[in-house]
Amino acid sequence: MQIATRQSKDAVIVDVTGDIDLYNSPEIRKVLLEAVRSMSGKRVVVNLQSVRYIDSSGVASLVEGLKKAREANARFILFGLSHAAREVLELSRLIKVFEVYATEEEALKA
Amino acid sequence: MATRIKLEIPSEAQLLRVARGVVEQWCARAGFGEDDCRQVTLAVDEAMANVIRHAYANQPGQPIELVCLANDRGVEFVIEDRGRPVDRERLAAATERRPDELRPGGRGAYFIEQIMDQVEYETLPGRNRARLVKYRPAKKDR
Repeated sequence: MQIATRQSKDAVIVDVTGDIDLYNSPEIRKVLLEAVRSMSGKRVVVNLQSVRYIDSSGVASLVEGLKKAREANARFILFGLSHAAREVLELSRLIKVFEVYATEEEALKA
Repeated sequence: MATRIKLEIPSEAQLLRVARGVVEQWCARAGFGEDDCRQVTLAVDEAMANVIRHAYANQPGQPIELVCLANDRGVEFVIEDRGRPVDRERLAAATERRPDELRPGGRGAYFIEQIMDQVEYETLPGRNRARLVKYRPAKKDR
């Protein structure tokens, strides 16, 4: 799994590539929480277009990011959900809890 | 056609990916569609992750045995470990809690129950066993 961040106007975009599982979800968690800390009052946008697999530990990292974002008055947005990622968020009944968009453009404009 | 394979892996999270590959291919070979293969892979991955986290308290190098079976009824995965017994109260709480609560963890057991048709946890002398069964669509009695 690879994870990288970049800035765009009032957002930090976190690009995740690969499988998110018990092995690497701690790293995702760390990056997401750091992104939220740095973007208080603005937005963190998570690019999941290249995430083929995500398990409950990955979902936990996203949930933690969302919670911290709310506390920091920042928005926490997901985009580019693969079929697998969408399925796991639906299984968790969290798909409606997160802000989800199809593309980066939509996520940044919203 | 082989109806049983066994994988023995040490309790290292980095190896879950290997197990996922085996499970996904096993389901595909047994004739399950892409969606079922993906979901069953998630369920078995969650069960093995729970062994690493809870039975072995993240201690690496401990034995996990995964047996994959296939027959006319469907596929079955038996996961055995030699760690701490399953905490039944905690397990029941995890599967009964609302999954959409904004709490970070505790969804693995819930996913397993949602995806698989039969889930059993046993505490045996010196080992724990989880048995996950997915029936072929035509054979479901649920």
